[in-house]
Amino acid sequence: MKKHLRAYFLNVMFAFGLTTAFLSVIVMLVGDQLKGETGLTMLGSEGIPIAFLLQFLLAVMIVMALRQLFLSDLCIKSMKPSLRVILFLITALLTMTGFILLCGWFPTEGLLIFIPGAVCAIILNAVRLFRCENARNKELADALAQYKSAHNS
Amino acid sequence: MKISMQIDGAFQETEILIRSPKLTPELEQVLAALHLLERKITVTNGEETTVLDAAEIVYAESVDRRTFVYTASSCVETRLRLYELEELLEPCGFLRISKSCLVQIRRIRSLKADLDRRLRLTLETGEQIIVSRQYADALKLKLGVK
Repeated sequence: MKKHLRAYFLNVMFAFGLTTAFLSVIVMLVGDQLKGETGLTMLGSEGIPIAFLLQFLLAVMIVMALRQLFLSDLCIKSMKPSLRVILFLITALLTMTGFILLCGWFPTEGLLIFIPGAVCAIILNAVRLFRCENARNKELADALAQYKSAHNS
Repeated sequence: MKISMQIDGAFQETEILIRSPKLTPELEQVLAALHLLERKITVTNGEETTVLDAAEIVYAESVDRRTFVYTASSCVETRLRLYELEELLEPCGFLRISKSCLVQIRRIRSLKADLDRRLRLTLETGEQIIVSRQYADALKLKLGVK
């Protein structure tokens, strides 16, 4: 449990720090043009508002908790790895979308046209992941059968 | 201890006879070493000591510095350490799959890829055990998978 908690906090700090650094650059470049229009660019290029940082920290904590839930065997003991990845990506995407819409982080007009594309991308990647995993498992099963027949004769 | 040996072509098979007033720990070690030559290991089940054929072993596990051997129907303890079992049983198709576990590959029913490049084995007994990342490549190599 300690190991998982430590990993969780490290992941939160790393993700939050790295992304905040990236967002700082974005704000520096386009902050003045979008000043007052979004939660992120409320202060223009002068900085990122505290409210946004706290909201973003909460979002990162939720996403990392989802990561611990789906991508480790702490809670879910038995689930196909590809299914874990897909569920994590979907829930993480929904979380970030929720925060963007509810907290007004970015302008969202016109973003609805990207939804079909995003759904297609998720479905295609899910199919690819499942097929890769099934192929890998079949290869392992065939190798095991071959080993057994070679060593039982 | 007096050791004597008779080599004679008239003998049909090799027979080892040990004469002693009582069974001592040293004698048990000698017996264990002799059984090892036939890929048999001495195991204890409570007070009872028996000999187990390597082929009956599904997997062996080290817990709290004690080594337990699992067959299809029982769990017994052996005095051998896990690394000693590994050295003895590796030619019989056994492989280390984690720091504390050794498995007979023929007794694996199925295996699947798991999180973090680990492998999940289902044994003939229905039990599932995890091959750690460190040992997964060795198992794949043994099976001839890249």
